[in-house]
Amino acid sequence: MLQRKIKADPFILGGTFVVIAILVVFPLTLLFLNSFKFDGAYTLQNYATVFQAKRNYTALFNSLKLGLFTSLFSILLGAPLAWLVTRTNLPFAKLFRTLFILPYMIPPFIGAIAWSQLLNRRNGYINRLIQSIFGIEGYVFNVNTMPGLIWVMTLYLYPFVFITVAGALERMDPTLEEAARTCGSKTMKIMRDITLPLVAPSIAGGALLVFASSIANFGIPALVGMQGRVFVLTTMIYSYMHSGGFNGIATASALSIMLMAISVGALLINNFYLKKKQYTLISGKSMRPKTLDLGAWKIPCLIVAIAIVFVAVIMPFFSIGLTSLLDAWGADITWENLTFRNYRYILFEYKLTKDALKNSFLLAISAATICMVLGSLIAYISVKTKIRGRKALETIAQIPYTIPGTVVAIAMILAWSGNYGVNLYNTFWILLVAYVAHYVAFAVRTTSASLEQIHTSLEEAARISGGSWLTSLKDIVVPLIRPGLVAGWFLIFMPTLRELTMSILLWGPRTVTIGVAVFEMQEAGYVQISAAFATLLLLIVIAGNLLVKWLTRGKVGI
Amino acid sequence: MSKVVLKGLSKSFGEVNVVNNIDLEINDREFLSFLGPSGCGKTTTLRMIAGFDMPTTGEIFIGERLVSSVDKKIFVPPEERNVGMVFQNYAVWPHMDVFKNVAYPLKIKKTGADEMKERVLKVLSMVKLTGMEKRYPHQLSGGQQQRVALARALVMEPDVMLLDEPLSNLDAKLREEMRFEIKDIQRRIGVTIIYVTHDQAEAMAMSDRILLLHNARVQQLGTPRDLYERPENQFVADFIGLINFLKIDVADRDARTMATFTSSPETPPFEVNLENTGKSSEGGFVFAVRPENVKLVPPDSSSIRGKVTKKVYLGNILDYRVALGKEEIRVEASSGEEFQPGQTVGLRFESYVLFK
Ligand SMILES: Nc1ncnc2c1ncn2[C@@H]1O[C@H](COP(=O)(O)OP(=O)(O)O)[C@@H](O)[C@H]1O
Ligand SMILES: [Mg+2]
Repeated sequence: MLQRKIKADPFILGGTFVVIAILVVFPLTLLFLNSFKFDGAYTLQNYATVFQAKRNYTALFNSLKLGLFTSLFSILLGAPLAWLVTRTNLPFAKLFRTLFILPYMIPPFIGAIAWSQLLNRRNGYINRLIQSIFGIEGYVFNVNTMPGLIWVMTLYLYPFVFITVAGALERMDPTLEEAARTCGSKTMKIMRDITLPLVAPSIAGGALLVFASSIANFGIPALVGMQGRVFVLTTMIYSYMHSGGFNGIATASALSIMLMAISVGALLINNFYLKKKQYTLISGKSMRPKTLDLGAWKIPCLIVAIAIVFVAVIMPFFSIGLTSLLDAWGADITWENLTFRNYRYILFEYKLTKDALKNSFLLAISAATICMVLGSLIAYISVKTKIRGRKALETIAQIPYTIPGTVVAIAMILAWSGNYGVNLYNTFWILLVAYVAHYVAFAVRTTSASLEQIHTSLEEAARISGGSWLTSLKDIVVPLIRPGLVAGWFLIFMPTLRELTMSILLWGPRTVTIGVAVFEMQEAGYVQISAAFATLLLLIVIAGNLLVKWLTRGKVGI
Repeated sequence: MSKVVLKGLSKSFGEVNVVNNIDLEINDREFLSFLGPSGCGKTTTLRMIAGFDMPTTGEIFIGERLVSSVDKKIFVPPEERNVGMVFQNYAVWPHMDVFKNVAYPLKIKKTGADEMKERVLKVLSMVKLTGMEKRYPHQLSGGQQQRVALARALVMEPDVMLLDEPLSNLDAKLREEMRFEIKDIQRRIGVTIIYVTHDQAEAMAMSDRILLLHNARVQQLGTPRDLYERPENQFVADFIGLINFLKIDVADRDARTMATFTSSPETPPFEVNLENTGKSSEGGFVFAVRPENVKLVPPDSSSIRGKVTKKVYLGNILDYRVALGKEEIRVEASSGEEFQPGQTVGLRFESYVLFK
């Protein structure tokens, strides 16, 4: 149906276009140009330099390797688990469904810390356990390697595959499989001929998301990889920026463009190719697919499921929690060695963590609020007006989220460190600008979804009654989409609170954030206090999630 | 090409009994419909015959073969029953083209390539899809997808075909067309068909016999004519076609069974025939008469009189509402004298049924 569109205040709407231009278009254009700029001229020199150095090469290669293997293992782990919880009579399937998604809730750098504690070469808990059981010297596992990276990354990202595949399996019309049965096909053959081909696009879609996310991730390769001198693109860019130098930022720009090309490419394939191939599997009647009786396999499957929850969720939580209570790291775990001192320290004594808490809360609240205002305006323009360029506006506003945070941060540095009249470098503001640019897409998406449900006539009725555009917005539109706004706010607040990827490139002496503090403490070897801080963050994340779930009546959150 | 026998078939989901003790023999080459309002257990019964649901009690025979028996602990899985099934939402596989969809049952049976091609093309021409072999389901209309589903069920030359509301997703015109085609195909190949529908017109038009279900129970089994002309209970009478229900009081007078309308005692008693109720001839009954079986006559030609309240011209018939005491009945007249609202008319009941 064609919806009538509403005339709106040109000043506010025009302002939105300008803000997006400044926030997104300007920095990203600069980044693109800067990657070609060498000694004041535009050349391909930076890209040539990038490819001359073996370490850049290796970083690129490592990123691809990490992405490919993480996707592969995510499929191998996520797809069978999805089938198990949706299509079989596995006991406690609903509970497992929640538990299998849980790892994604753990901030990636916290997972990285946990696995460093469990599997590090010198005194990882698991290595120590194996040493004491088998009485051997030396280590069995070393997390600071490429396989270690893939391991930690897979455990963080496989839920993407799990969620998409479980969704597809659940929505699939059961008669598609039943029809095959009446044709004479047996269970295993139906899986091969019907079920698997039908969910294949969803599996590939989930895997591409995993690929793009693992390539864009900074926390895990930084905390797990760098110690073992395994560099990927994000950490390579970080180290160029860290070591400074004038050409450092030029090389970083060139690497950023490459990183961006790879991850955006993966997402484009997903959006334009796979989304179309995802068959409409939904049936008219919502009949739940019949579950397969596991029979004798029930107990073995249950054991595997429990083992996976144990490894993916319980072990990391336990490890972080235990470490946070340790008096001395590396010593034997005894009652005398346990203490709450670390918590007292981070909460009341240590300036770094106290500042980080204050800054991150302030940043997350501001970013979420600004994003919601800006994002709602963009969504409103796109859904409810007929201003020219409204779809372009919406698309542009979504771009920064598809780009790795590292790349956005570099673009912000280029734009806002004084070269163009505004110097925000090392300030609170550059962090805020970057957060808003990266996360405004969330706000646009949640709000436009709610706005599409409101018929224009509701607004028109308000204006016929004599209200101005702003009045109708305030009295009619906002109250109707309030649940969407609240959910959107939390969807931005939660990840910005724990943001690391952009913050690590943008923070200054007075603007340390929670993510940065954990990272710095871990790098400095303050293992227990960083664990205590990480535990605190985990508790905040869990509480936040429960709150969102409660506020949205279970629609948002894990 | 087999008969199907259900013996004492019941199904409960937890405490809820959704199919209650059905006994039924479906003859070879018969077209039998399960008819009834939504939720009466039609699909569940069909799925027990297909083998997707396990009966709580009872037995099912397809041909001479016992395929399901609770007591004897026999349960043949769907893939070994050789029944063809057509689902309401087509269930055509979106990742296979028309040919592959239809050829699938033959592929499972490891039919040779030449024979497979021949048989697939034959059924495709039967359902009028010749030339569409390479199309994918998303390139087909709903009606064409339904034909693919039909062809896929036909190609396996099943002992019995089960169709679960196969036409309910199609628009009205296509639905009528498909009715005839399905019926025509059945006549040509002589397969036994069990057809589920909630649409009485569809069931009447296609079936040899109809099993009318309500509240998990069999209400009546019979030909369309039986159900329309000799409904066994009020539900059947009401479900099939239009009917007026009037309460009457019956009493024997001078060896004649006389009735008066409960709601208008002033109407003189008239004689009724109680044979088909088999009940004692005293007390309250429900007098059921179809609109076309009431004749309107001039007031002096009948002792039962009413007053026309409404008249609608529908082309082939005149649709009257006539007040009879405190009740109003519907009368459809296709010939005879025309009356105007407000006029008093005489009523004559040409055929009726009584229910206790
Ligand atoms: N798997 C099931 N579990 C519980 N109740 C069911 C199930 N399948 C069907 N029912 C119930 O059984 C009754 C009959 O369903 P169904 O056979 O589908 O009716 P129909 O096809 O006549 O509309 C309905 O009330 C339905 O809710
Ligand atoms: Mg049904």
